[in-house]
Amino acid sequence: MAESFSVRSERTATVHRVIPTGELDIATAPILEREFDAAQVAGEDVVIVVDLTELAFMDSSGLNVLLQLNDRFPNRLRVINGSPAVERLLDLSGVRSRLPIISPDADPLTPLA
Amino acid sequence: MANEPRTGDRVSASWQSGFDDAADDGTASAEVPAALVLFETYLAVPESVAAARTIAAEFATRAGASQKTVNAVKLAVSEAVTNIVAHAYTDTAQGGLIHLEANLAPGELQVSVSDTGRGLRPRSNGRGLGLGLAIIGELADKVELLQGATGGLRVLMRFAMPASTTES
Repeated sequence: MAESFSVRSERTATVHRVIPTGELDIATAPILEREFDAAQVAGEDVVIVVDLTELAFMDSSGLNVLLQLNDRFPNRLRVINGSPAVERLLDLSGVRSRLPIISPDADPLTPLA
Repeated sequence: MANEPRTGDRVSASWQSGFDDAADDGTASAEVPAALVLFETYLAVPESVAAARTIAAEFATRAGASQKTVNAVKLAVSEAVTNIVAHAYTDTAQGGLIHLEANLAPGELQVSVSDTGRGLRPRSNGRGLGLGLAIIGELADKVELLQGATGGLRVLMRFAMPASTTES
């Protein structure tokens, strides 16, 4: 069964934005993880944004990636969440409070509350 | 009971020697055999997770489930299959199989995921069975862990359905 998944990144001097598209699960999570090896090279002061608004599906494998990224990039990670399916997953897993989630129109450079 | 209220913490573990589908509401004698049945077998590899959840969601749609229930079935199956696949990768003996079964019973959609041997256990990477199984517990109206026919574990998930979809 063909599963569509891709990741693209957008860079500015201060923000590295990573945008996964498609279905994020145990088979595709490694693709997203690899994308962050480049982000780590970018320097200590660059804010890393994971934009989930284009995901059609995500399960706990995706949550685990996000939790690991938050450990790996403390205070530098921001998660933008837009799809209803991901919203629901964050709520029923209880993981929402453990991730630095910001709204799509927020400035990622604003310090977390 | 098929229409028990949803609660957030309904994961129960029981050990039985089979897959007891019988309704426990005392109306079993009036039930008609389920006309809609799904039985699929997959290799325990990561790519099977998407295949299984897609098939399960299509089955739920055909069964007349609401979009909310279809989404719940899709995510719950993804979690259950992921757990087996994660074990297949950490265990030395690979090549296991995964069975996905579903049927439309009176008042509920029953979906089960089972493996052929090692069973659902906490992951060796420390993330634990917790997150995936907790999500399943939130999604399904009832979850049971059963011993499968081949010695593995079976997670049986029940999703309440409107009576009109199961009385045709």
